[in-house]
Amino acid sequence: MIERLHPLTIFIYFLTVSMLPAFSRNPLLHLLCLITGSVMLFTWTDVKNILKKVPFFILFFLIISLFNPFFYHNGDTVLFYVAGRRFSLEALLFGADSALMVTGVGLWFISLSHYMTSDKVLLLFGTISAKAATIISLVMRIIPHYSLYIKSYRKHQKMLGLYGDGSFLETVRAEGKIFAGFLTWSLEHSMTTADSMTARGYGVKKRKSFRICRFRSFDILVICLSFILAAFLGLVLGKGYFYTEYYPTIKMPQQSVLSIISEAVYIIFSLILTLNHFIKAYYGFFKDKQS
Amino acid sequence: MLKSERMIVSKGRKLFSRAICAGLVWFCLFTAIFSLFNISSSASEGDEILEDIYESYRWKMALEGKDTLQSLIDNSFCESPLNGTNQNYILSIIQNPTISADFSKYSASLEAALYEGVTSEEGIFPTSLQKSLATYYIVSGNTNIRPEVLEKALYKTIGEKGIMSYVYGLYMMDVCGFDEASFTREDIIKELLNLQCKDGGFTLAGDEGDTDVTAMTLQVLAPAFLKQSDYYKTAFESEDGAALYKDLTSCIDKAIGFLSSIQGEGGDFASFGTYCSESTSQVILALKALNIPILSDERFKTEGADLYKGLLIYKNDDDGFVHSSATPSNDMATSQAVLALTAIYQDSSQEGYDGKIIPAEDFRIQKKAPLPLRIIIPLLVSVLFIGLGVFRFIKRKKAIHLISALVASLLFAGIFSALDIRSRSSFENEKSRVILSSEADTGIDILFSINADTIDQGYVYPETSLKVSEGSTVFDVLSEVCRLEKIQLDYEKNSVYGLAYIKGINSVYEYEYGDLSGWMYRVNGEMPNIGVGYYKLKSGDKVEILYSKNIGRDLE
Repeated sequence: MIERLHPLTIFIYFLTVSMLPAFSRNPLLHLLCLITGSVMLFTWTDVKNILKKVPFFILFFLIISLFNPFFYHNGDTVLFYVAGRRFSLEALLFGADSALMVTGVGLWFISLSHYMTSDKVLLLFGTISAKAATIISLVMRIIPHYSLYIKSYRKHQKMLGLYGDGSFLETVRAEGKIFAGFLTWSLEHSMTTADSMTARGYGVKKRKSFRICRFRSFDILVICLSFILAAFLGLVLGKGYFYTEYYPTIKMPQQSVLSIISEAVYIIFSLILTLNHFIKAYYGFFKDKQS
Repeated sequence: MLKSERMIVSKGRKLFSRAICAGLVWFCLFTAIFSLFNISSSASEGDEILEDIYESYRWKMALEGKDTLQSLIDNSFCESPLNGTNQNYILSIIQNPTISADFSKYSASLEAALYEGVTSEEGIFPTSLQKSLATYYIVSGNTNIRPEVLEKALYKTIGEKGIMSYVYGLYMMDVCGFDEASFTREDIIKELLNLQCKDGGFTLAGDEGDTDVTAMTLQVLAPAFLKQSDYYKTAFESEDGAALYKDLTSCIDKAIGFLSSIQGEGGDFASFGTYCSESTSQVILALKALNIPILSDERFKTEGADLYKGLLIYKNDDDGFVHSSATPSNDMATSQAVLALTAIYQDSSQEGYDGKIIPAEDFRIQKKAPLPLRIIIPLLVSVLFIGLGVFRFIKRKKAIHLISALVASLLFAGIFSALDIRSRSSFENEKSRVILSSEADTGIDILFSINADTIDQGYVYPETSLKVSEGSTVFDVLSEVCRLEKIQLDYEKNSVYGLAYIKGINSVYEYEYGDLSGWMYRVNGEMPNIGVGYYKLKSGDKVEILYSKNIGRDLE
């Protein structure tokens, strides 16, 4: 479903859903962002792949949450003193909250980078700045391409028995050889790319580009919904319904009808595009059982 | 090179790298273990004495079956407040700068016991009354003593029971500052001088001097000899007074000579022919009262022993002190030994003292000495890292995992120790080196205040006159005030240049009230053009720390 959307729609939708909690200061919204972001992961990858990412995110979370109290010494509940200044519970919780937010937004952006393939980026930004879009798309293709090349090169070397015996020095030497080879190859490769680009008419003034994506009525619906959500939640946030005060003591905002409604709206809107995927998966599961 | 040849070469290399790794691991483990032992065993002399004092308190607490020192004071000591042994403990706790205790309950029960003792038919032993009254005065600092007690103590005790009633009578009058009694202080001193034996000592009965009595007499004569109170300064000015002071000086010289001559080989003293701890303790107290350096004075040193070592002979295995060798621990002996140890501690350099004060509620029988955070956390993380490294080393057989784990744990330990993490109690209770007590001899007087009036928060810290050490900067005073008063403070400091910048005080930060808002300071009504970390204070300076919304324009 998301694959078939127009890149502009994908871009607006993902930005709305991830950036609204990022501009708020409320642990509940950040937690919702994290949960819906991880649900979104399930639409394109499996549990095994997600579990691989978990240790990295835990480390990321810990580092960010410890960063704040070591550099900001406000707060009434003192845990201990660092170089004569306070390490307070409030600063620690504020750090944990911002870590939650960054992690949640990070999860959403992983999904975004999956759905916004390089051709879609080119299509979206090509109209604004063709050169920048070309460079971006080149880079987005080149990085995985290069890592693949290095992997295969390493396998080659290992198979030929030239990778060393496993000791540290030998490994470093072999990796240096691989890097040198890779550098030469990438220079050659860039020349080939430049040649093929001129052959296809890059830089010619009068030309048209072929676009595979089409702007459907569903796109308009999603974009409109995104704007409505952004306006509504932005208004609620601006009114201070979600503002948590951390210093000098933590004061959580009181839950009102409006804040509960906006939380519900956020959950529904951020999960609405995954619905199709899960329904399909559900029916597919039953079909497999019956047959 | 063929593959088989490479294998042979690599085997040698692998062994070599593994040997290096194993060596590194063992080296780190051994250094860690030895450094731990070193930490626990390296203690200065002051710490040793302090530990002896604490162990004696713990012995007494175990004897009475009390958990904390405060409960010992509130229950056991309050049951028999007139007991001289208990009073010794109380006096030692008061004199100990490392323990803070609450004596309100004890002083109340002591007052009640004094009144009861005076009014009841059984009566109260004269010396006991004198000593208890002095103790009451020291504990409570209260001069409003009931007239019945006062009358009995002043007019019916001195000289009633031999030499000891003179001794304690003079002690009481010195401590409480009584001028009128059945004897004046000069009269008592005269009486005491007359009682001196020919060998220079004092005794209860007989012609030969006794150590205990001599030492105790010296203790009470010391204030007069050193002219510690104004009373003596005026009393010894007159012609009679000067003659008396001359007699007193010669008497004390003779008494010290007597004590010095009878010191035993182990540094201890004997009373009635028996070497015992109480005599040693009393001699220590006498030296302390006379301001003679206890451990370094040549007259009280024997070969390879001093008074401290002489006293420690009598320390029992159960941490109490014995009367004389090969007897069980004795309450009286321990109480006097604690007093003597406290005197030695006060006399010593106190180099190891880190300014920590233990509240009596937290002083327990079980020695609770947790490793500080700064050792536990790096140790745990290092164990974690090295464990992971060893695990991966076993699995993958690559030395790089071990080396990286070691490097990571060392890096972490380095960063962690550089952060200087300290627990809340140790940080907040530390004795200040910048802000001195008002009675301190050195230091300069300043007026100091923190004011956030421009944002309607009033005084964060009201204007107070402080005594600060010489050469301290505005920043030193501000950070110490905030630490002691538990006011939030955030700053950036470059320890190399002494540069300091105040970001926030009391949770009010810069830029909170506009782009030009922040904390400023004013000395004697003028805003200096240098940083708080540079401005050195002079005597009589008036320092104001102020919050400004408009870089100081709104403060005039």
